[in-house]
Amino acid sequence: MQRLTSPPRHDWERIVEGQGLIYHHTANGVYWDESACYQFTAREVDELEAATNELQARCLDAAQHVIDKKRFAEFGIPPAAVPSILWAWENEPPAIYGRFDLIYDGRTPPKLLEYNADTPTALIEASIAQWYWKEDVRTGTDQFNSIHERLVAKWKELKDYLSGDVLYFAALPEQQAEDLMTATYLRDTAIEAGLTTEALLIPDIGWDPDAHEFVDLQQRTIRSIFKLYPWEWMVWETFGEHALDTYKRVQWIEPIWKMLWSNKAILAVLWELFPNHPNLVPAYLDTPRDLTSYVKKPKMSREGSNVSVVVNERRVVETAGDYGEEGFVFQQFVPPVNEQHPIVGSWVIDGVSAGMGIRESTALVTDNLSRFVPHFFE
Amino acid sequence: MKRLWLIPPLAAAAMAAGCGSKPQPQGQGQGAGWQTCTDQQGRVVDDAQCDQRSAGYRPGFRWYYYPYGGMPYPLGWGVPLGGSYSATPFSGVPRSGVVRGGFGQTGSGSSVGS
Repeated sequence: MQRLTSPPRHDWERIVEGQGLIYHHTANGVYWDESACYQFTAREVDELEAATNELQARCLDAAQHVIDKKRFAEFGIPPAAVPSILWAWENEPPAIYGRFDLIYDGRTPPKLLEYNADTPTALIEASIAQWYWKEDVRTGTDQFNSIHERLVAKWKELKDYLSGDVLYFAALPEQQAEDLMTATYLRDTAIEAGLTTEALLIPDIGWDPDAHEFVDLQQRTIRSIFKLYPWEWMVWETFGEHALDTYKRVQWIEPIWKMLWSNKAILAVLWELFPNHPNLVPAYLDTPRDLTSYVKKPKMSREGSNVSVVVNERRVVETAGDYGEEGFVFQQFVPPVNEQHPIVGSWVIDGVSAGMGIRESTALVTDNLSRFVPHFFE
Repeated sequence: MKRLWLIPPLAAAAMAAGCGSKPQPQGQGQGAGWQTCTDQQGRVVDDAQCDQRSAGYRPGFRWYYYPYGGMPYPLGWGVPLGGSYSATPFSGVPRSGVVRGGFGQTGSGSSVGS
């Protein structure tokens, strides 16, 4: 795993915009950064793929454990959501995707930092933009990336299984349009698979109190919907009660049991069940125990909010935010691979390792102002 | 080999533009009136919060009846002047019907992705 400098393509902004990556800059500067790239060996890619599949299997074990032992309170999950989680776990409604964040240096095994299992983004850049970058800049090399093909294949598999005639894709409008474009891209893969789809904004999801069902803007019943909006928020919002009441009648993608994986408490459960696993780092609920260098993360934090980094018992970083009431997870601090703090986002599509994207950041904590850097392997 | 992929222009434009807008309240005289549940500040909330049989009932929240027609307001909006309040539903008046805005309240304008 080597970081290389690489001359950006002429007119790269127009190129990536044409591929759907319209959010190539953030308020802090470049987000899509093709002035650098990472080179991997085939052995390293194999190691990342194997680690991803191994972690997926262990996360299934961990979720089963949480369910069997009824540890929902440790995850801050409200009791009202538990029946729906149990039902979804048993009945396996559609689940599409997730992204492990791993730290990896090419010499020691990849280690799990967290699992973005409910609303992962950085998808277009991993699936599409970096593929065409490789085709333009590193012709003849390969890339760990079958994300697009696997998404289309999964939708095809679901075609006869989804309820209703239309699969809705809903996201929240936000400044960068990242969520809207991510949902649009996923919708496009569903269209490619032959599904009939509609777009919907999250606040435009309607509730018909007489029919006791969710409806679209034309008052048509919503039976299947992909929502780029986290369950950990949905269950507390005004319609959360309705979503739980009608859960068996609506196919929400991702399913509600993803609340178990997207919660950082799963990191502590994983370490508890599989201590010294080569792809895990020590993590504990609510106290650092014997750790002297650790990262303190709210169980439900997003985009690096409210994270503290303590090295040798001295706090070196503390990010702002509104999270933490739900409690914290303390995870052993893993020194960064280089001064760019690369994190491997390893994608899981339909339960199988499907590719990766790398994000770098100036700070120790990867946040929503990090930079995406493409990769290739030979 | 990956196939050439482009966002369907209509889909992307529709998403980015908001893909339909929230229902706008209309002028007076277009119907027989409507009622909706409101909080103590007169903002539209889910009907269940005024329904004393519902687990979501909130004491102090009241039904608001607007007699001049138009459409019920979305969740979170302040109701218009000119109507009346009651602890029990106004008989013979349709409830608000479909309500929107019950999801999306926690997001703060930045990506909710992770």
